[in-house]
Formats: sequence, structure tokens, C-alpha cells
Amino acid sequence: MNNKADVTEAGKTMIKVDPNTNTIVDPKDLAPKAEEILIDLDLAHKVIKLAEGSGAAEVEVFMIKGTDTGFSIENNVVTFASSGTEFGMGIRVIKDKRLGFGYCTNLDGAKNAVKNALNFTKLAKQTEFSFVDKSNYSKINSIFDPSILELTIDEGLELTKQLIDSGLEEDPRVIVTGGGVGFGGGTVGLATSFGVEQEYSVTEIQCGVATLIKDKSISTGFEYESSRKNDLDLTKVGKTAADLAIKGQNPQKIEPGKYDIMLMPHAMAQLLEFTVIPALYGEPALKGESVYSNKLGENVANPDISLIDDGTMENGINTAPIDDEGTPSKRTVLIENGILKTFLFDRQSALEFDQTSTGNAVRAESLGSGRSYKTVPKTKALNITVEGRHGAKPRSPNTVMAELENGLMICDLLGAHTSNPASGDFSVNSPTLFKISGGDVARAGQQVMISGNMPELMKHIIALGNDFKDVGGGLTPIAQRIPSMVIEDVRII
Amino acid sequence: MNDKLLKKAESLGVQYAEIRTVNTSGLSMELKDGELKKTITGDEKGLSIRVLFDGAWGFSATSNLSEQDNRQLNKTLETAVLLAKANSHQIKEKIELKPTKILQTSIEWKPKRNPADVAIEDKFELISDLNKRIHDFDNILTVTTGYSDGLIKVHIQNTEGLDVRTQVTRTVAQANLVARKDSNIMGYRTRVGGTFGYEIFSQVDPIEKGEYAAEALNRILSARSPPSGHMPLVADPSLAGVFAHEALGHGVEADHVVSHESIMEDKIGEMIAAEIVSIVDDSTIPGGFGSFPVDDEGVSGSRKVIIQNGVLKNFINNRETAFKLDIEPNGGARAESYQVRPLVRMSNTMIEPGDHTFEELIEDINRGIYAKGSHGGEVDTAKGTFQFNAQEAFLIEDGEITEPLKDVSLSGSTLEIMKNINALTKQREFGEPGFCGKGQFVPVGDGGPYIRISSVTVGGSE
Repeated sequence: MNNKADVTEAGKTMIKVDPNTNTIVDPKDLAPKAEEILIDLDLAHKVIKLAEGSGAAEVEVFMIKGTDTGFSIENNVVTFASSGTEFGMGIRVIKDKRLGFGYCTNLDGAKNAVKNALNFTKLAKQTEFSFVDKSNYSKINSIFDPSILELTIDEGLELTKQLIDSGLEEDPRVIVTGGGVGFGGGTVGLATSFGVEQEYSVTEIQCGVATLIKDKSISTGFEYESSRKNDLDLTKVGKTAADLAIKGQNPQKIEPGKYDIMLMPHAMAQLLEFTVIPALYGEPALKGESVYSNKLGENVANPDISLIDDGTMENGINTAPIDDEGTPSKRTVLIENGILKTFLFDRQSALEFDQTSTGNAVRAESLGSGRSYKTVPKTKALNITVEGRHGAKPRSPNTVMAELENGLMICDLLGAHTSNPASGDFSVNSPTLFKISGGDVARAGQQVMISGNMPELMKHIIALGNDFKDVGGGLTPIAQRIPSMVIEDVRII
Repeated sequence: MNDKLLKKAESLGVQYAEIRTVNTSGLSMELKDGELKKTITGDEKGLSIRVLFDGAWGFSATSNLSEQDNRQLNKTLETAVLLAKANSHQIKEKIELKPTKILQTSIEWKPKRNPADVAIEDKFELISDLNKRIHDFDNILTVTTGYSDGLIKVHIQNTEGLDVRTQVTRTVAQANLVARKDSNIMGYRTRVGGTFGYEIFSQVDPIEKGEYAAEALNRILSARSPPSGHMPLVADPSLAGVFAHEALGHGVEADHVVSHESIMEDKIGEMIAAEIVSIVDDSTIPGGFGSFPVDDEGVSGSRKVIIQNGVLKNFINNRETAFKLDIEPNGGARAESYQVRPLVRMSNTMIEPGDHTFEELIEDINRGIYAKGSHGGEVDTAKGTFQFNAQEAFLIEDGEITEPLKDVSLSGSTLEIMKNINALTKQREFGEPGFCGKGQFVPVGDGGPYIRISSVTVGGSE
């Protein structure tokens, strides 16, 4: 099956995209779906005028418009087909050097939002904060693919069926219990009372699948992929999930003790999301509430490893020309060859600590991985990745595994979000794992608990695979493109 | 307008259509170390249309509700029907909805003190005082206090003639504490809230909870890591509630059951827990954070007996899974917002009390753990494996609570652990309000008595 070719051929590239800004330039040529993500910056100007007329010294309007289509799987069939469109705006105002915020879904609602935002400024502390007054971002080509917006309902269903069938074909015992395919696009617009106007459009297609085998034991598998381009290999995703369930049969008991563990990208990303990454945000770090406080210039990881946040990463889940308050996106090396180099900032935390914004202002609800117009920007990592040199140079996972005499391959974790965010201590369950013996996968393992301190374990990462995978955030918008990693001497219970 | 849309849906040949309009508005504030970090207010309105066409679902949502522009509403309906039609060509087993009482009602759960009538200055003072009082304690590094209220209005209509309007208010105050002693940093979170108005704060004092949190955090700062391995454990009502939610609750959500994703499949009528264990999921508890009058497909909320004296009695369901399993709909369909479909969800999951005292629970334990509160947990329903952590814990030695422990996590298999519950107290309490994630986040409550588990896997670094 070659679904990629089918889809690409079916996608009509009718939309013209301005290569400099990634915005759609010629509405006349729009297909109906693409029209749904066009935003009207005139609306932002109306809101700015309204707020200025009501006493705001400065105004910033952030708008999101999006559309998506999705197909959900249950018990080997597509059981739910959905689509939705969304529009909303978040309005920040400054009055008497104090900030206020309100959100709404149309111009009518804006009147109330502006009134409340201005009213609430009276409680805020005075600040020298100011909204962006210039646009100087560069183009990013890898985040918009018009053929995703052109996917039809039937094509979406077909893709989902391919996902299911590729799992079922692996083994007659496999049940595809859940998952699905989703695709869509959106436009983000930002305007300030300084005359700044910025907008960009993005597309995304994602798929995920959960598998189960009930035979001698119950085993499960899962896999997912996402892309900004219409290039997903759904058959591979279905097969991978099925293979994991097949290999997971008849798990053996794992004796407690210390093991070298190979955390697959999904499991590694879960641990980093709730421990190391938020500890690298400027505000907690400079307030002394992070394990990385007062450690700039110190060795905090294996000297052969670097940790980077890159808002401009090719085809990255969170890649965009600007962040959610208009600062150009950039690449920030957080840990360079084991040495802690810098932290991440938005404009407010940068102002507070006399730093420069790293373009990491993200608007997201406190729980959830999506962007939201309903809340104010806060520092968040965008696309975290790692680099390795010398002994930690990324190599094929099999080569890396071959060096493990007595290890465990950890595919999934339960409860990573319960890690202690202040200390980085974690104690989680792994329901899906394999014993590595003599450099090879020996057998599936029964559930274990894994515990340790993640910031400390960064020094014990001894090898990297080259199986880099895009992993979206679990309960946060943090995306990661990381490979499997081997950590030595980890406590298994 | 909605009546016309439903008529149009019928003319397009659907067997069922439902329009759910949701209007949410509210305020949230966050204060860190004396400085107001954010004040958010806003209003969001949107609707979704869900249709069944020849046994297949289609769903479409929009935030564009302008009456002048019913082009958008018609398009939303047409999209839902198109999706359902396309879907119907591949579906193997036609979806049907179990008949249920056709409600035509309007229910408003009126708060005693409407948050909208409370001045913003008072709300600011509440979290400002809370912040200051916590800062008075030793070793406290930063304190983030927050307040939020929300008014959620839902209007559901369907082609069966159902027409339900509900209105509920939820109010929350919380504190996140970080303390530091030498190089040791620890965090703690506490929360007060419910499906109440501002009166919640005269029932449960956030400052009292904040002060307890600061004391507890100081204990944790100098606590040692727990022993690891299998041992007896006593959980407080808050942790017991999270246990009921994670270890059992997700496994009895009927959507997991029908897709073979639950270890509880085929277990109705079986003894799956110790005989002293009874667990209910109850969306009718006044003020419970997970309470609601009518679920998001128009079925009245109810008290669902899940386990009675150790026997699995029922699943939490929606109309679709109720039909598949041939059981009565019990009002378990909940959606995070108008943008997404209702899923089978828990409400307030409670363990029923027993007949012991707390002292009796710990007096027989030679070496074990007393654990309190939780940051939450996670479960693999297909394998029946769970993990959850405790906010605070102590060692039990020779029947006495001795030294404090930090970072206690528990893990195990649902079917084993439910049988290991061997004592429950008479006293029962609500845990802290929480949010449960299953692709969508919904407010949930839980609680129970103090419970004793004869053996559970405890994860620690010693």
C-alpha cells in the first residue's frame, strides 16, 4: 500500500502561499477549507481602536482561527467522524503601566473583554512592559502544506482504514482498540497598537493507534506520528503498534535492582516534559526554585550531550516564525556539551530578570497541549531536541542495545506527570517494557516501577539512538524531537 | 433556529441529531509572591451538532453562532451529515442509542453566593491573604495562589424531542508552594473548590489548607526517601479517592469496555474486590467538583453503584455503550467543551465507608506507610496497571506513625490490589477537586474513608 502517493495526488494545490510569510495571498483561489483559516486583521485593528478609545495606552490582539477533521477508531472500525472550526481572540491592554487581559469569540464580545481587561489593570503591579513594536521575523517554509487542507472526508476515512488494516494484517490476534487520524490547519494573527501586523498559517496531520492482544497474556501496543506536511506513513504506524503488542506477549517477571535502561523516545519525552524542561524556564531558574538555579556554567549532563530548544526546527510540531507575543522564533542551546548555558524567556520574564526574550511565549491552558486564545503568554519550551558527540553520538538503536549486557527497554510510562516538578524526583510505572540480555531483546517484561531524579540522571545518559521521533506534549504544549536514550544504573522496583 | 436545524437534519435522512450549545464565562486570577501575574476574563460560546446516519456518527462544531449568518450553522449541520454518511459505508456494527427518558427541563444549580456578585477586589484579597499566610512559614521560597470561577450554560436539543438547559457554577482557589532548604527543593499543591459559588470558602477555609500545606512541605523538606518494595499502606480519604479513580474508575468506563480496552470486560457479577469494598460514581453529590444535573447527551446524572460488597455491578456508560452492553443509560457522557464529543467519564468517585477507626487501621502494621493526598496518577486500563503518587507520607512502625517520607509512589494491578483492601474507617471525606484527562479534561471529585491495603508496591529510592 502506498497511501502517501495516493493522498498527494488527490491533494489539489490550489492555494497560493506567500513564500516569505507563509500566509495565503490570493483569497480568490481558495478552496473552501482553506477559506476557513483566513483571518481578518482588520478585526484586530477595530479592537485596537476600541481599546484605545476606552483608555488603553497600548493594545495587543492575538487571534487564532482553525479547522480540523478527525476520525476515531474503536474496536477495529472507525466509529466517529468529526470536524470543527474555531475562532477567538485574546486582548492584552496596558493602562497606567498596568497589564490587563480579556478574550472573546467575536467583535461583540470584544467590547466586554476590553472593558474587563481595562478594569482589571487596577489590581496589577506597575511594569515597564510593552508590546512588540516591530516585525522582523524570517520565513519558515516547513509548516504549511496546502494538500492537508484539501484532504476530503473519504480520503480521511481511507487513511484511517489503512491505519487499522495495517495493524490487523500483522497478526490475527491483534485488535485495534483505539486511535485515529486528524488533520487541519490554522492561522495565527498578532497586531499591536504600534502598527505591528504578523500572521502565519500552519497545517498538521496526525495519527495514532492502540493495539491489544488477549492470548496467553494481555499485551498492548501503540504508535503515533504527526507532521506539518502530508507525508505520514500510516501503514508503518499501524504495523509498529501491532508488533509491540505481538512482542509483548508472555512477559517475564523483572527482578528489582539497578539496570541500564533504554528509554524509547515516547517514554524519555514523558520524563523530560515534567522534570528537566520546566526547570530550564527563566523565571523559576532565576528565582531559585529550579534544580538549575545558580548552576549556569556548571556541568549538569553528560559532557557529550547538548539539549536545545528550537522554535525554527524544520517540520517541528511547534515551529512558527514568531512566538505568541510576536518575538521571532529562534534556536536556543540550553545545555551545551553538558554545560548549562542559558534559560528560556518570554518578554515579561526577560524584563523581570534583565534578559532578552528567547521567543518562548506560548499561550496554552494549564492543562492541555493545544494553543489557546483564552490565556496569557507564558514561557514554554517549543521543540526540544538533543545532540550527542563522541560516545553519545547518535547510532542505530540496535547498535546501542548491543552494548547492554543486562538492560531494560522501556516503551511507555504511567504517571510521569506526578514527578516532583521542583526536585525532578520521579517514581513511575512502566507497563510496556522488554528485557535486554546479551545485547538483544530477550523477552517482554512484567510491569515495573522506575524511580530516580531526572536532572541527576542527565549525567548518566550514556548513549543516544538515531531514531529521532516527534513527540507532542502530554499535558503541556512542549514538543520534543528526541531519540531513544540509554541511562545507566537506574533503580527498578 | 435550532428547531429548524433539527428539522433540516431529519430531512437529510439522519436517524438522530443533537445540538449542544455551550456558553462559558468566568474569571481566573493568579498571584505569585504578592504580585498579580494574570487576570483572565472572557466569554466563549459555540455549538456542536452530532448526527447518526445509518448507524454511523458525524460531528461538527463551530464558534460562529451569529444569527444573521445561519449559513455557518447550516454548513455545520451539512458537514456532520456528510461525515456520518461517509462513515456509514464502512461501519460494521450499526450504532444505536439506548432509549432514555426524554427530558424537557431547565435546571439551574444556583450558588448561594454568585461569584459574579463578588467584587474582584475581594477575590484578589482572598488569594493575596492566602499567599501572605503561606509565606509566613519557614523555608517557603515561592507561592503561587490562584482563584477561578466559571459559569457553564449548556443547552441540548435532539430529534427525539429532548430539550434541556442546565446552568452550573464552579469555584476554585488553590496554592502551589515551593520550599527550599539548602540544596533541597520540594513542591506541594493544595486546592479548594466544587460545584459551588463563593460560599465554598466559608465551608472550607483555603487559608487553613494553605497553612497545612506549608507545614506539610516543611516536613517533606527534611523527610527521607521511602523504602521500596511491597508493603502495607494506609491511605487518607483524598488518596483513597484517587485510588478509586485510577485503579478502578477508568476501567469501568464503558467505552473502554466495548473496545476491549478494559480488564473489567466480562467481569460483571464477579467478585473483583474484597467483600468490604463498595464504590460508587455519583454525579448528584451536592457541590461535588464532578457533579452535574444532566450529562452532555441529555441523560440525568445518577448515583452509579460500581462495586457492591466486592462484586462488580455496573459500568459508567453513555447511550451508545448502554445499547451495546444492553444496560440502562446512567448519564456518564461528558464533553470538555462544545468543540468535542461527549465521552464516557467519571464524576465523583467515592469509596463507601467501613466500620473501623483510624487507630485500628494502623495498630496492626509492623512496618508500612501512611500516605496522604495526591498529585494524581495514570492507568493502563487494558492491562489493569496503575500508578499514582502521594503528596505526603509517613512511615508506620509497630503500629505508630513515625518519620515523614518524601515522594511516595504506588503501583500495582487493579485486580490484585482491590482484593488487598482489608479495612476501611467509618469516617469518610471528600478529596481535593481535580481534573481528569482522557484526551479531554473534565472536573472530577473523589473521596472515601481511610483505607488499608495489605500489600502494594511502593516506589522509592532506598
